[in-house]
Amino acid sequence: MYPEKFIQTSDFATLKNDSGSTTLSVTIPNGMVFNHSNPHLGTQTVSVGTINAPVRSRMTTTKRGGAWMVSSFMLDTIVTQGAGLSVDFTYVWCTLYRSSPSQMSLSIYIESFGGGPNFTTREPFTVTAVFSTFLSPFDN
Amino acid sequence: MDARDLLLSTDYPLDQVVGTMAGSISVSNFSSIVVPHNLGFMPLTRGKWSTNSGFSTSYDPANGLSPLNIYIEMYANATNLVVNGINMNSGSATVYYRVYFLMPSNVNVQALPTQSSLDTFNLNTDYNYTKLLLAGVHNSGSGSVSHNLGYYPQVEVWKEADGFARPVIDYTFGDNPYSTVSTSSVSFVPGVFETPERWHYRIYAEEL
Repeated sequence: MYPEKFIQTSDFATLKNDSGSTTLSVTIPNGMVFNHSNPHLGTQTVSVGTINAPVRSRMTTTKRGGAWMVSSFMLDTIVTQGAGLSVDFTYVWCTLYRSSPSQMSLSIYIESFGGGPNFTTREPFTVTAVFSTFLSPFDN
Repeated sequence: MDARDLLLSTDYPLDQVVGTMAGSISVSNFSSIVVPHNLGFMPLTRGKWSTNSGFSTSYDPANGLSPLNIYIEMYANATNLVVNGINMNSGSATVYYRVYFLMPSNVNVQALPTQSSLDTFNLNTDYNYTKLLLAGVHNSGSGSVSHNLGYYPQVEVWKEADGFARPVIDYTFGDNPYSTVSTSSVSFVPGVFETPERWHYRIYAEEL
């Protein structure tokens, strides 16, 4: 069977879109104290469809000037200051993922390593993801 | 007629899954496996990974660390699926992967059926089937394609280099190639460390 010659054929599994678009947003406030021994800075979660579902998504952060990335993962920076240190920045990772069989989560986290000084954010930072989920093409 | 008002429209093609693969990899520091996919062409891959065999929690294979401090990427050439993993934790972790393949728009060859179970519906009106408005190959390292829909559509993008197609599902501060979507176009942006030879894109009628 030549799948590209058909609009649809029953020979090939389909991707079943089981939801409309859903928006998740996480904000890290100015003045938040964090430490690299505890990498998770913030998470928002929403209930959606089935496990192992494919996702189409777009994401942006307050640092991207309104540009939407075709992504479920973003690396960005927050202006921070370590205790006794000058103002600098910290890389943050923002990921959209399935956090349970029925939930999607958007998390902001930093690289994990033990100890070091506490840091304080010197600006607010928001990441937003808009996504739609599909039934898994697998058996579960 | 607005395709968004219909579950299924014969005006537009549907996504047809031409292959699936699943397995596991033990990830300790850097690990990699190469598995033949036997499709005979370079497929467009999408997939998920999990440290749970039942995939109760799962992640996209993005170009960066997951909340588990593990990095997984999956991509394919005309022969093999490649799964790479980096574990930033001590010890090793078993990572399970599931991948499905789509046929690129510049390929038209025979593929074996993937709809194998008679009790699994191929079409079910409980669900929507996203309508493929535009699919193509952008034969340049950068550029854009217009859709002029006036809203943000669902989009899938892959970058191709050295015979491998990798899903573009991450933004890594411009280090790696990335794609942006607006209400009028989809842009393809090369990275500081890599410029793709070409881009594959699929733009759907559904709003995102």
